[in-house]
Amino acid sequence: MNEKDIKLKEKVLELTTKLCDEKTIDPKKRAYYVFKLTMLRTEMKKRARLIEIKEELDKSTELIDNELKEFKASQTINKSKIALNMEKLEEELGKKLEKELGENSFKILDEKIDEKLSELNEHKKFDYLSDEFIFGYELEEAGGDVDKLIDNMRSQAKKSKDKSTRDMYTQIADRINKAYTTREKYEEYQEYKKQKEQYELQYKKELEEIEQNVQNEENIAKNKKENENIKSKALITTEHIGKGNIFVRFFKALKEGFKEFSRTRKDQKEAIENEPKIKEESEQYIKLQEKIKNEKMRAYDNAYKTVTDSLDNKPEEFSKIREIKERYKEEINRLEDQIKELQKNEKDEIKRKIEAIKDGLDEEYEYQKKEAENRYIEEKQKVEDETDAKLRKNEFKSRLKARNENVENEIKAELEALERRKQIQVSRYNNDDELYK
Amino acid sequence: MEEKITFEDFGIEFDNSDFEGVSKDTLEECIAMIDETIDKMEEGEA
Repeated sequence: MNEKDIKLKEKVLELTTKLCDEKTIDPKKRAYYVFKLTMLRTEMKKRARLIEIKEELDKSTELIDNELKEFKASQTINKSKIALNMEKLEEELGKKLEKELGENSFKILDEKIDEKLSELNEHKKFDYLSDEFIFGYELEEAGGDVDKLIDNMRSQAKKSKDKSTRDMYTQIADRINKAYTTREKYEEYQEYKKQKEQYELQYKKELEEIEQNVQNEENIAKNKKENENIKSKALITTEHIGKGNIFVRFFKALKEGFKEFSRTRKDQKEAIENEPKIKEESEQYIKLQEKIKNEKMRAYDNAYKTVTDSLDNKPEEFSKIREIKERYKEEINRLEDQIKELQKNEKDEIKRKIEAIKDGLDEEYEYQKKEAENRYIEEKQKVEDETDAKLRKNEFKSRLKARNENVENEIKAELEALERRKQIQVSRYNNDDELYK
Repeated sequence: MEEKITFEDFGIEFDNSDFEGVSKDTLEECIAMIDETIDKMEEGEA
């Protein structure tokens, strides 16, 4: 109990004590104070009822709050359940689709797409290589080792699970091999050509030397003739002059020199005789080389063309990959749309349920509130009616009292009048009696 | 309560401040006291 309670109780006690102790209070005043007390009582009742209603409202609010809390908690649980259900649904959907799609399930499709994309990249690489095929950077990547490059291709072919990819790598490896063989042959031709040029150069040089030698020989022959003339003259002179040591040694040396000259000349003569044959062989060799060159060039061109054509045909392969990719994309989009639709439906349903529950709670709250208000109004009316009845009772009492007083007074007055009339009649009777006597 | 309730002869009056923050029990006790007084006054009148 607080200070206010104590103060009010003391005040009321003081008032009631004074009112009860006042014995000589005027009746009119008494009625007035009763009326005032009734007012005070009504106010107090009203206040008490208000407190009661407030308590009820607090209880209702607490109840509603608790219900809301419970509802929210249940919603959280529901949301978790829904999330779980969604996961399950997605999982089931995924399984169902995998079952329906069989070989084209997501996983397999993913693998295929990855595979095709890697193939696509390989194709792109070879697109680039098509310009400078065996001279390209792929070869450089393989450290300039074509065999290594070809081995790489073959190992790629072995690794590939897909037949078309395997075939593609094998074909490319074969073509590189072919192209490289052609290149080797071409290089050989270049080597031959170079050798031939060197040979021709050497031949030309040798020919010039031979011609020079022939010229020299002719000169020597000419000189020899002159020398013979000189010799014959000298012999005549020697025979004629006698044996001179100097001349003997000179002619001996000259004789040996001539023998040597004869041998050289013989070789040179044979070489000159054989010259047309060498020329013919040389021409044949050139023709043969030309033929080999043309063959090699044609083989190289064919190989190059085959590779280029093959690469030109690859767009079909690309279009297949693109087609699969598009189909995959379409399938994914369709499934995503389905999932979205399912999620949306589920969410809408939950939203509707929440709204319905919320509306229900709002209605309940409004109903309770209205009920409480109505009860308050009824109570108030009741109190007021009671007050009115009390007042009316008092008023009636006052009026009754007044009327009783009036009636009493009237009866009294009437009795007095009757008494007076009686007295008059009695005196009148006495007078008559006396007159009669 | 719009107006004060006055008991002029006793110098006692009640207004809103007297009731604010008062408990329901206190009010009921006061009502009982007032009822008793009214009864007594009416009995005296009779």
